Amino acid sequence: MPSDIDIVYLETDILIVGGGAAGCMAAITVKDMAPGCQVLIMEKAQLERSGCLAAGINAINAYLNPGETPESFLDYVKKEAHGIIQDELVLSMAKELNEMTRLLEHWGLPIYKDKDGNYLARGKRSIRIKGERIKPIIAAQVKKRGIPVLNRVVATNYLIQDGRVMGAMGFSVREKKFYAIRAKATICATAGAAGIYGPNNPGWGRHRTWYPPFNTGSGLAMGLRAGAEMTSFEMRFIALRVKDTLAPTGTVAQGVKVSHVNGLGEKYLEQYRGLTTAGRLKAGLIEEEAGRGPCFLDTTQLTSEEGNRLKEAYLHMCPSMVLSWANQGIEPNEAPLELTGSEPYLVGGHAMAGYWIDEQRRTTLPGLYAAGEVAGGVPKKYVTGSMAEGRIAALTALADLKNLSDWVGREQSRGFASKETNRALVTEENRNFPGMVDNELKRIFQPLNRKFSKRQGIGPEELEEALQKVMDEYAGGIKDNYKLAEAKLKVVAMRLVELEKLEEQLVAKDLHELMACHEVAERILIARILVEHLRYRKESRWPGYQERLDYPDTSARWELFVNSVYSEGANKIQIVTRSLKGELLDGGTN
Amino acid sequence: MAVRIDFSRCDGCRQAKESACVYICPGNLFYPAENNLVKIRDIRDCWDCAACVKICPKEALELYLPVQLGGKGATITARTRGKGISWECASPSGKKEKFKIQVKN
Repeated sequence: MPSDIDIVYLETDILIVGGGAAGCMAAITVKDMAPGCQVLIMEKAQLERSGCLAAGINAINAYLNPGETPESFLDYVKKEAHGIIQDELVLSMAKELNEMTRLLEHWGLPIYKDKDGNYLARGKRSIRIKGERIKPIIAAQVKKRGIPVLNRVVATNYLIQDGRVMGAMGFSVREKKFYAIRAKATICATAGAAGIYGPNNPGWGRHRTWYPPFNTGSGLAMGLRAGAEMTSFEMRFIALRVKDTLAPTGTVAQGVKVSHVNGLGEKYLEQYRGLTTAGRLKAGLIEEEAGRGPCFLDTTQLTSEEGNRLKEAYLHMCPSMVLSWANQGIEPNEAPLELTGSEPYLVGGHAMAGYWIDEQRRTTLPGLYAAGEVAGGVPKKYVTGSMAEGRIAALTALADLKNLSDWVGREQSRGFASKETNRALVTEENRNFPGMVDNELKRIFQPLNRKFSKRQGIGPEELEEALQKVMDEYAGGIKDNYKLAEAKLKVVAMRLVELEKLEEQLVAKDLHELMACHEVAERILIARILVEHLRYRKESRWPGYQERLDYPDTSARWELFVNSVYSEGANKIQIVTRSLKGELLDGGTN
Repeated sequence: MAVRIDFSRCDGCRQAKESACVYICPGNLFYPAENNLVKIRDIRDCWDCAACVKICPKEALELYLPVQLGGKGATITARTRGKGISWECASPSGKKEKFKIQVKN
């Protein structure tokens, strides 16, 4: 065991892993509803500018404008998910969207309004905001309530006892400190995963990604290792974005009509009706394959005032776009914007990969709740939906704790205090989980302590490149227009197992690289699960996001959820299927 | 992927416990170096979120695009004051554009 590591044991009532929109809202809810309840946030970066909102945003994309209802939102989401939806999961979130927006405004977020004081709608479910500072605004509310935050602490695994999640462990990237945090309830609110596939731009442009490159799916990997059931990894999210800058395209359509045109100047979307987000991506790919690419967003019709407004909107979220125009020496209406598909991401906020959850945001592991990007089965949640889920998860955790402590109290009074399943809550001897802590401590710091010759040691960047290369080449990456087939998926499944073995040779020269070592290992595990999901769904459910060359049609037989459970001990992935009502169907092993 | 430190302005926030950019970067990409300066670990790892540009008290940081993405010398700097932010975008031709936006009520 490393001797120079400072081991810190902490205890709290509710531990929140990940301090983005969902995690902050969960913490705020706990403190507002139960001021006496101790809550602690574990944050990999610095809460003030961490997660998806680090750069800011220019719209709230999950808001029910006048005329919209939670039910109409559900209809929209169901269509976007091509039917694979559990109604209650979406409804429970949709009901909270406007309240979350109201809170953000109350906290100081400026929202554009018309002359009558109504929010300026950007679409049926979208409003424009001046959101450059949205994350500091949310973080200030956490600070105001005195909620403790462990910044720069990377979570690596859950503490588990008798099958119940009892907190989490991790390490600091700034000092040699290991944390074991014991909690009565744990809410996972970490990010989805970028960097599983190669990014759009190599080398100097490798991190000009749409989704934050620092979001590496650690909460998903922690859940997998603990045996949580996961859902819908095969519904990848591939964003239609501006080429090179990966700037969002929705920003352009701010109450002005902007057409998509192909390389021949034709308005190629007009032949389709009611396309979903995946469908719009696919339509562009069809044009490319037919030799009519590249495709563009035709901004040339914008007035100069609209062009200026567009620059301002991009500064709120993606200043690189403004830099791009400045480098070209042009205004936004002087040239159309070329479009591209992004690298495939695993996200529960736009698509629906994540923990399998119930309506109350409980995962399949007792003591563990999920909200935001890691909560599966609820696409289109964006910022307000993630916050809504943070609130729901916090309320559930509070209610469960109350029931649990009532129960423990009752059992104790009847002399059953040593009852096996609750021993961890009431006795002292196991408080520090000795075996588990020792193992994790050793596992975490191994890459720092390995003594390899230069030839044998592998840096995290090298392994990351290898992961992204095989995923791109065999698992439907950008070069293949995202298309999939069993023969290639079978190859990548084997390659990933080989890469996983190389983790034993990972070396880190400092704590920053140590974080990178764990991030790449986590992404390899996530990629393995993703590939099994992609292999299992033998149809093309979401062309663009998920399209099989060997099963090109959509089939009613596949109107179900593909879920998975990973067994760390046996290193095996079990696929299970569930009906749209969430009932267990048959299980199969790949 | 691209932020640049102007070392004629950067003083490493010598009065503070931690430099502002070291404190804020979501990618943990800055670190304190000798002579009260800060360094960037690997510029290729920057996401362009501009958190460092906005927080730097000396306005010593600027965003630019690498050549691969069309970079020809344009830069963006920012100044955060109270409830507002002032952006300045300088084109290679020398043209300067300013945007002053209220970002908190």
